[in-house]
Amino acid sequence: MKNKKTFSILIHEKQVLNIFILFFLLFLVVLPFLITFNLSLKNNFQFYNERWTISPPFHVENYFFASSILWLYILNSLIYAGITALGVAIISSWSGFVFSQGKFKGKNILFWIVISGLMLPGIMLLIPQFIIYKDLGFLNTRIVMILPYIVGGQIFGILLFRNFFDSLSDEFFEAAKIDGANFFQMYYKIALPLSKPITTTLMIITLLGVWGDVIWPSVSLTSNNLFPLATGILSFNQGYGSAWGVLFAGYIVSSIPLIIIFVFASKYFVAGLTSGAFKL
Amino acid sequence: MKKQLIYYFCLLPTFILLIPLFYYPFFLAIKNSFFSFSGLTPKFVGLQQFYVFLFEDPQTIPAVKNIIIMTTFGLLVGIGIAFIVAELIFSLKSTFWQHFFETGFLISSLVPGVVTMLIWSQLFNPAYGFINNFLKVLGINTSNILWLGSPKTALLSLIIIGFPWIGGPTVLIILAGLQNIPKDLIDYAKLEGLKGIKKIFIMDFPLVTGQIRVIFLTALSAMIPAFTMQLVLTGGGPGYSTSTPGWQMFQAAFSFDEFGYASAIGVFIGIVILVITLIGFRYLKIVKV
Repeated sequence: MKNKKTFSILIHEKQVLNIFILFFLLFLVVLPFLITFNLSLKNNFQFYNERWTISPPFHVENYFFASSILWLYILNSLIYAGITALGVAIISSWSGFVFSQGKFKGKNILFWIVISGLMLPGIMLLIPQFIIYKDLGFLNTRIVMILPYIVGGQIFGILLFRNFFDSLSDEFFEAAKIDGANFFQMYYKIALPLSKPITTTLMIITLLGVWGDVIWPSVSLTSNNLFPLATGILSFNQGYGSAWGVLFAGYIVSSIPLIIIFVFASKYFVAGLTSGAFKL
Repeated sequence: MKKQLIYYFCLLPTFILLIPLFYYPFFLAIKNSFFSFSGLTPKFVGLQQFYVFLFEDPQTIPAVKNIIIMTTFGLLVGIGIAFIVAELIFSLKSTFWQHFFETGFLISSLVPGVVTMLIWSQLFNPAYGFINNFLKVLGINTSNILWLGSPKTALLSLIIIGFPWIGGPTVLIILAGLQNIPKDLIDYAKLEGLKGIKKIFIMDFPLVTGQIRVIFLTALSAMIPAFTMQLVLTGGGPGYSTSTPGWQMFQAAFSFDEFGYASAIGVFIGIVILVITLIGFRYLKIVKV
């Protein structure tokens, strides 16, 4: 009983100090956002004269104004990250399935060719990728914010899915074979439903990657209306540098979408974010 | 035989994407690093651009110095603090509070990096920013502290960004390692009277080296080529005070159109990462045994 953890909100006497330290650390982490939030409710007069106090009236309209500009970037990010995540999930689960259940010559060599991509340093890709997409005429289109991420993202995805399907008991697939299922039906009716959790995790990993990238969109996109949030907030930052309240409201608004998605899929987020642990 | 062909056909989508859009660019990067793009047509110059990067470009030495400072600090402090936070959370008996802090640190690391950088750049504002105003309250004369605006403090400012540098995911990975320590071992340690800091160093730390090794290698290969803060905040300046090799590469390509020189820098950074990762794999595995 001594070591058993029970769900309890009670704080043991000995741990008061530890909880206090953790609260203090969390406070330090959140402090910049608290400051930003406080500033986001001020007009310029309040900003110049009473910056560090909570000073009514609160100018909530700053948020309406910031949102009216940022919603387009947020929508773009959702489109890019959403389609990419879906694309990576489809292609990786299919190819991962073929590598796991297919029986053909050179399977391991082909698999190794795919997986060796994980070792190659991504920094080398930036410039040649730019040249290739420029030659293809894809620069400054939505394609350039989707295709490259699918191409790169599937590599880790295929590794993930092959390992997952390999770990499944053969009985699942043998039973289906006896029932006369063909290869595609086995994928569609058995493998796909079983891999729902891992698919969601992979989609979240992909989403976070696309969402956070600022380097690729800043070289491959020039039209403001195509910008994802990462570069959109930069042009917002330049455009509203002197409307302080609106600027800070914009920072808060752009922090929110991922947190909302987190609330709905926190389990998969944790798996996705900590995926570094099984990445190598 | 005919049946096997179907499988190759099944893998076509993957290879149609990978070969022209992933492996070919790598080949192109290496090829371009031997060509100069400054004239009208690319000209073969051999290893000259590597030589220029290593021995002639005045930006290289400060850039390499900066990336070494930032990476060393980021790794030591990032892993050290995450370990401390994980130990603190692990020590809590109540699952409610464990969960509370796990979620708290995780959510705060979901804020997009760009937004964090912009918020910090406002905190650093010499006149209006929180940091200088806070220092003023402490009685420090801040009229000369320009943070990102001065070559003396710009690099320091970039390092300070994100204070107290707690990465939610890193904490969770180490915490998972701590939670996996077998219970007999914990009981045995108790029996032996192993407690507090001594227990952490003798028992906990060695048992989570597996997690730390992976975090270390992943973070290292992410930090060496990094230049997002330069792109968003400093442009590598003032002067070369915050430049990094990755930023040198970016500038060469997109400010000066010298794709060949940029490719050479990219290939050089790539080789460094590859060598360090391979050494890391070997050496760190020896440690495990």
